[in-house]
Amino acid sequence: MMIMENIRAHLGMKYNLVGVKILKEKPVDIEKPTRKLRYCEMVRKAANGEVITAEHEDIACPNAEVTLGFVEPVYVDIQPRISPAETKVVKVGPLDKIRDPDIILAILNPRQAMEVASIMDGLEAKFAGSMAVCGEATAKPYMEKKSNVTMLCGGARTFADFRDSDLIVGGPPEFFEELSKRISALSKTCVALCGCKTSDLSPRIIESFRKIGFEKGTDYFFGKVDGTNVRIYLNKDTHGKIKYITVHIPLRGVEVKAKEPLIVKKRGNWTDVAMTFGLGEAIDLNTGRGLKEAIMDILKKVSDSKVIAR
Amino acid sequence: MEPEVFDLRGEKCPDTFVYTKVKLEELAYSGGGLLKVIVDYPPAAENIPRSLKEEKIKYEVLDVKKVGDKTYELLIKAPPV
Repeated sequence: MMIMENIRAHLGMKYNLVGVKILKEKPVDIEKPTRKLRYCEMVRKAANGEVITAEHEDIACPNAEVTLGFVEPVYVDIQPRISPAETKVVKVGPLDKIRDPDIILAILNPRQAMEVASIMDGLEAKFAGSMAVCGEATAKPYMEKKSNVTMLCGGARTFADFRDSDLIVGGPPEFFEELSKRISALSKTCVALCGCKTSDLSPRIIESFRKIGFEKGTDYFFGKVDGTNVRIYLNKDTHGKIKYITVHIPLRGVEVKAKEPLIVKKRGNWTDVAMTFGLGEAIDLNTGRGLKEAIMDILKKVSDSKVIAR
Repeated sequence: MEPEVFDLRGEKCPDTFVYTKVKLEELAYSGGGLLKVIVDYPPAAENIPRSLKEEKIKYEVLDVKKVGDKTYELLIKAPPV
């Protein structure tokens, strides 16, 4: 699944994202674990590549029996928990092996969680250091349909071999889809909108831009096309080779409703609209071939989009 | 028979169950008896009785009573082993 690859690569995650499926009916054939497991152990194993399917009788932790909705509590109303208790089977595994997961879990360190918070404009966290993987990371997001952060619990750290630096962000698939989408947009715009200095470019490339009326800035080329300010960033790969260009149009005082491949990002009173173009047959920086066409392409897409004055 | 009081206030799971289990085994192997466990971590009042069902020794949970905002008393009978 692209989501997992994208998020793992960006955050530098050691473990797989874990997909969790809560089933209210028992599938015909299930491969049961060879011994009883705690849910947090199951998640830890799934993060390392195993797929585990467990029924009530396979769950070793009495808290998880309640929080995952296998049984209703008898004496005390434990929260958070999946309610009503109709769970028959819980299946966990690496995200790419779990079809239509109900919840996704990411085992992160604080630096990675910070990056997620930054990308998602904040992360809500409610945790009490108990019933963490089953309750705080799974049941709570399942019931509330939003993400949560947990610092884990004594059970998870004692029995499931979580490290001191591990924490978990749990959330519905929509949360991780949005995270992946924002990471993709970042890699195409933010990475492009910094670095990639123009000072080491060959005179031929600079001349290509001059021919279409663009001047060289510190890390981009700028010019006006049909009265609109346009910036062009050159995006280098890790080996310093220019792989694609990002055409960037800053618009002031408007809101833009645009579809992919346009990337729209608000910045105070400005709205940045950007689009990336791969280099190859269509665009050649050494001759300038296709540059003007790329700019006209994005300008047309912007004019076809819904631009609302603020 | 007066129960022995076992105060586990301040403890959370899994320690609440682990300490209770050890204490109950002591009681069972010394002739059996009653244990009153006090916890102030509410989920323990739910999971201690549930976990005891899995034990080989047939403990009997006689009562689970709320005695404070978050405090519960569990009365458990340990049979002689």
